[in-house]
Amino acid sequence: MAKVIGIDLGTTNSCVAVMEGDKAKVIANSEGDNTTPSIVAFANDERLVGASAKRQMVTNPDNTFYAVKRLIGRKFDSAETKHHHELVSYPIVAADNGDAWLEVDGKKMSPQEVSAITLQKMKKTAEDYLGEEVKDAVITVPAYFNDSQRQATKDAGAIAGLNVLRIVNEPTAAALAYGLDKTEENHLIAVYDLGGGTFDISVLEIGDGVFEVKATNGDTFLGGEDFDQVLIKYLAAEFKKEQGVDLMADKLALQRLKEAAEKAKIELSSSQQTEVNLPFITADATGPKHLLIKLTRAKFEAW
Amino acid sequence: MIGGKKKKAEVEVVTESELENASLDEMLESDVLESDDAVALDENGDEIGAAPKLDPLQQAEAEVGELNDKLLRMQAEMENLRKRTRREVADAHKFGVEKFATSLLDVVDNLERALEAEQGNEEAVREGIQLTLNSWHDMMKRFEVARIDAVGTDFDPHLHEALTQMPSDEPEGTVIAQHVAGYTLHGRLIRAAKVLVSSGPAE
Repeated sequence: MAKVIGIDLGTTNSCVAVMEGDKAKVIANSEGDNTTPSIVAFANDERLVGASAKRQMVTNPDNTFYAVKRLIGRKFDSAETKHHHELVSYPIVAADNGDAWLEVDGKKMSPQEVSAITLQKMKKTAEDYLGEEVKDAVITVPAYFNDSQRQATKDAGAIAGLNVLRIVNEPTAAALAYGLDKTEENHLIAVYDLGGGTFDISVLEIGDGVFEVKATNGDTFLGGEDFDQVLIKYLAAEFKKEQGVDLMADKLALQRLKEAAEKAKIELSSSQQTEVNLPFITADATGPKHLLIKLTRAKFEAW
Repeated sequence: MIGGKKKKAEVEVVTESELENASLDEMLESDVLESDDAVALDENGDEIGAAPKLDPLQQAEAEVGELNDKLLRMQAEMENLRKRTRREVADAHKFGVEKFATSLLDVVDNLERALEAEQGNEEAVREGIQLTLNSWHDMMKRFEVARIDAVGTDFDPHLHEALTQMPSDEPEGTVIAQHVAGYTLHGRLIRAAKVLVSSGPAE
């Protein structure tokens, strides 16, 4: 019996899993990561997907495509497309049918085709793990996706060589992962999805293993990265107060600060306090300077 | 292909001759039609064909066919799982230190920064190295590597290694100096603290 894979095609990252017995097993990609950045780049004659595409982003802004999920199945003249257009570095153009497409080296390309490249990488990840060809897949989409966005996601799967058995709502998949379909009576549940760049809430009604999305909403421009930003700003402000140097103006220092802020945020999930310790963060005429700031969960939560 | 045709014919025969037992026939028919093991069934079915009452036996044969099929799938799945597990164990060995190594890189970076720091700021460089050492200790703690400081405690062969014993003002058996600190990993000693032990006041 051929295996069916489940793919979470995310705005920032994607993930692939397969059922092993009655448990879903997330499959690590060839780089050993459980998630793969949903980023595709065209560099000279090379096509890059995932982490490698992300790493060359600053050197190739026109041909590196990220957050394509925000465009899939949308019209070029929609408000969302316009908003997205202002935030990204790659060109967005109108297709003949009015859809929002991308431009690669002067050629038009649909968001479906770009997403398919990410999906292909997920397919390959699963195949390497399973040691056999994979044909069938289930792909998740946000509950608020309309028919056109769902169809476009399905098309992306087909382009990637996948037979998409089902398009499943993300909150439904989350509820299934927690075994909430196994309850007898009808009831309502709320599913929060706090991602890297988006924050969604959905209310589902479950009965007899059937899920119905009653309502869904969220902030498509709020996520974990915004929490990092708050921390970065705080750390930079504290450092400026103590040492008189603005780390925000120093690209290399800012990079270290970013990584440290994310690490501190993650640590505060499991411990009450942590320390951001960045020796030799910068230097001035008086010599090297070090950043050492204590953070408590209480303080972080109060912001 | 041939097996498929034969199967159909047989089902018809069965349904005609055993009409009274409708429920069993339904079961049989669905079993035969759904089973991928149609050929095996047919072979068995021919043998049974001679017997006047074939229901229970044929039903059993159908079940055997189905179970055989399940068993084969299970064996294939097990074999796959074994291969995957072997690969995962190998990967765990190969890449098990990845997180540890990655964390160490921060320490290495800071040591390099310390060396790159301009001369003449000894105080600030020293401070940076101290912070780097602190970050190393924090990292070790995260990986459940705990430090043992022995000075002033009773000598404990489970944690300490005595290098020498010498007279001191401390009572006999007390650790009076530590050559190097000891360390445990997840509570298991990975290096004993190397220590000097007091033999009591000199006579």
